[in-house]
Amino acid sequence: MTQRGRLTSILAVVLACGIGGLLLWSFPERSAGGSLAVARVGVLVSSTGASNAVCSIVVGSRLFDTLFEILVYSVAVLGVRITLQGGGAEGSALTPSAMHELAESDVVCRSAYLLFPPVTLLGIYLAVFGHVSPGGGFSGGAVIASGLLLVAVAVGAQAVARRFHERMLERIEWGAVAVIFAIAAVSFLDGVLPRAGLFPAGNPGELIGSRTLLVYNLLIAIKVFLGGWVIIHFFIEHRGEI
Amino acid sequence: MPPAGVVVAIALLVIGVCALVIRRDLVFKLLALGMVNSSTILLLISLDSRRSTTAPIVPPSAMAAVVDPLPQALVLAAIVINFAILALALVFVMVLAERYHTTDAGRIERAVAQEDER
Repeated sequence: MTQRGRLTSILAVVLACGIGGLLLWSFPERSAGGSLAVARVGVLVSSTGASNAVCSIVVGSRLFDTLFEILVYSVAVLGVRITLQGGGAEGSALTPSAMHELAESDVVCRSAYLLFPPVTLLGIYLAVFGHVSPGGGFSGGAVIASGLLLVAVAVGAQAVARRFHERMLERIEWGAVAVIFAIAAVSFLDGVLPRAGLFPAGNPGELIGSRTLLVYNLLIAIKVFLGGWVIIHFFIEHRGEI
Repeated sequence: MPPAGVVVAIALLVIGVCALVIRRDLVFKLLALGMVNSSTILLLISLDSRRSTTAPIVPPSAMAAVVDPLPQALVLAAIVINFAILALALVFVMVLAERYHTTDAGRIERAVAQEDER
């Protein structure tokens, strides 16, 4: 490292430590679980009928923020797809024999296949019950994608990809985004058009009767799962097997 | 004294920023960026959480002392956006590594400068 580089590093460390110390020193004392939080939770739960206040914010009062968050995620997935599609690294394409050598042992493969259904079930549970218990569409989709990653690591991503129809997955992924935006657009007209609110808010804690939160969570889970799979698949295909 | 979560978050932030500046390897820089993001998430979650509070999920009986749900909802956006940014950034690093056969930021800069001179 040159002298200038060393000086820059020292300066960076001193600055970072200084900012950290300043943050610690100026941290305000707050009382936790104040009346504001309780009031906020009460309003959120009564307006959406979902007992999970975080879910009420994410796909309720902060819906448009979440929609653009999904859009950013979709654009990132599209960026990965476009950049890596077709142009695998030179010499990274694996022959079938090389793939066979890279596959894990029988025990690992069978364990992965055994674990995949319960992991998927857990992901679906998190998405479906996300508005009444801890969970939600994002976490549910991420869990299902992780389950598939487990199988992809064990038996090889190419073997898993062969079971899917890539174009179909792409259509489902963008279809889910389109449906989310369509439902949001209809919900936006609530009060202007009759029955635009689609579903009324029910009693907190009930599975059905939390407006469109259940539908949003399911669609977001599909989108996150498929987006996650695309990223995993293209990374592995581009660089070779894990 | 701030909560332990806030102290750990600020420590992670300092380590992440230092690594971001000092390390020259692009993959390490991305790891440091992820660490900075994680510290932000930890800070937001720790802001209003105490031992006496519960998750903002309404139990059938009462909601005595709950955590403010707003920072937790904001954290979700941070996680998703960070995942998207890291995935895209990794793709760009892969493209650069294929072209210049290195992940060292200094070497890549020198190679680009040489290309410009030609």
